[in-house]
Amino acid sequence: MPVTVSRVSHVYLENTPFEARALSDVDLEVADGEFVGIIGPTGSGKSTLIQVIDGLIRPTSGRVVVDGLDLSIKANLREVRRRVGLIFQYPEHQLFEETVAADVAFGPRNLGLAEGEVAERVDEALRLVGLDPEEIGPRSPFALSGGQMRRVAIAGVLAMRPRLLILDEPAAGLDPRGREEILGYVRRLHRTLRQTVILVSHHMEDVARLADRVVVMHGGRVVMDGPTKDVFAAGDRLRALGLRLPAVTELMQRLKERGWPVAADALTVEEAARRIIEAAGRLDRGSVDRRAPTGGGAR
Amino acid sequence: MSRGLTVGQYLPGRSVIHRLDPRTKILITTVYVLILFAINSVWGYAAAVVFALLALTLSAIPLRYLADGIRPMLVLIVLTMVLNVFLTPGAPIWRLGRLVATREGLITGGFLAVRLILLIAVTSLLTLTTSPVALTDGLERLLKPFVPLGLPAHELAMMMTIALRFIPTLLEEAEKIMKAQMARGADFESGNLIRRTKALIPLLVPLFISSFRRADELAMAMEARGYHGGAGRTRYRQLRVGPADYLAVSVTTVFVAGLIYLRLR
Repeated sequence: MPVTVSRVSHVYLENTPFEARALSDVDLEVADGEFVGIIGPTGSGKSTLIQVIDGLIRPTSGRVVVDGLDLSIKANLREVRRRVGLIFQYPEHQLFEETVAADVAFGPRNLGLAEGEVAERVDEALRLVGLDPEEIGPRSPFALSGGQMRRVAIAGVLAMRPRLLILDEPAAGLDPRGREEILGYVRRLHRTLRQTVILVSHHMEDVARLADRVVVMHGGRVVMDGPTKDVFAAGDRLRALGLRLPAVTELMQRLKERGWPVAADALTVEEAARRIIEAAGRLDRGSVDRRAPTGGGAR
Repeated sequence: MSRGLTVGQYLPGRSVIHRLDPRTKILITTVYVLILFAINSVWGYAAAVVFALLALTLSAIPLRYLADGIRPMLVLIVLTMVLNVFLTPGAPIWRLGRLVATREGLITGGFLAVRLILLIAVTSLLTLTTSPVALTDGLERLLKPFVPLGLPAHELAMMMTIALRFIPTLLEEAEKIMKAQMARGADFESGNLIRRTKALIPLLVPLFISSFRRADELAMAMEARGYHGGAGRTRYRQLRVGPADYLAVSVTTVFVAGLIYLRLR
């Protein structure tokens, strides 16, 4: 689902001593089927931006068009919220129903669907996040583990079959396995259902692995926007913004600085491993100066 | 949601009034409010207005903030004034059908409106210039003489501090949950009263749950840092009375003495 954000600015509590500028002249285009990662330090305006896209915050100035609907028209707000699925940080804090099934059904019921359709979507959504509707459905959401609650909350949004899925730190506070699981579901939604996804995260590894494109925000502005590899290739610039690179990318860039004949753009462990094996192979054949890797680089 | 909330809000600043000891401010505000009800002359009201304006000017609080605090009460103020104008017996000055506006009514109504506005303005000034922590510290200290009589001064002050501290947190939390539910298609704005009340369940249940969780965590964190109630507790922030406090109390004393003189004359 295409999104166009043009020249959007937003100021919280305008004309008070608590005034805070959250967005300045932000431009952003998201094409149908794209997976966009948004990164940036705390307070850079990421959360404000995604709420603007969902019509939850009306920006002080600028224009937002989501799926052809102009958000400056108040009548469009509800329709946009139906088409966009926004998953906030710690979404399990919004659970409220007596059973998991009833909680997941909250969204579809608000869409005005018939009960049969609602039940179908609840089943589908719970399966999408790897939960068994028969087993988990009738239980109280408050009796589940943290990771399960998170997944139920995400199912509550997926059950609305949003055409654009926005996730704000979906894996925050989960253990590594929970993190892998949640991100696996997101990846599958994107790959198999061609779901348009916007992922906001502090976790560079996740963004590097999942996103096709990365948008970097700083001080309420979009400061970088490009294919994931290109953005993470600019290590110095990201560090200057107070961000870091994915650990593997950092490793590859340092290896390169030390003279290893590797391409430094690897974003995943697998890719990095392959590059290093290739480089090691070349070294063994003596195609490059053997002293280089042990010679000590800049660091 | 958290916007436009002025009553009880603290506006940080460095003015003379901001720096007064909270006890001075609480005492002066209390005396002022009491004396407002004893005033019965134009000169008395004039003095009260001057006193309030003086405090306002010294505090450097923009007038807009006080106006925001008074606005919600405006209906009440206008209503009492109108009722007084028409219902007080006296010399008629204007007729509307069977309703008679009297001179005496106009005077009492006007005085009452001034009294209410001053009341709100001065109490708002107290909370606008005193941080919640200072306010409760001052209150605890002022209530201390009543502890032997069984008044749990420390506990009251602690409860007040925690309540005040969590108002913005809860508002923020409510806003967040509201947005999350709105993103799931919840509608908090339309429908009749029953529908709207029912629409609050998805907001209130998570809000209660998180409040209990917060209370639990706070209690744990306080105990982990050795909190065991008020007995034997020392203070990080010492309340100190300075020259400005003596001056403020003196000015207030002169003001009160003047009003008593006016009243007894």
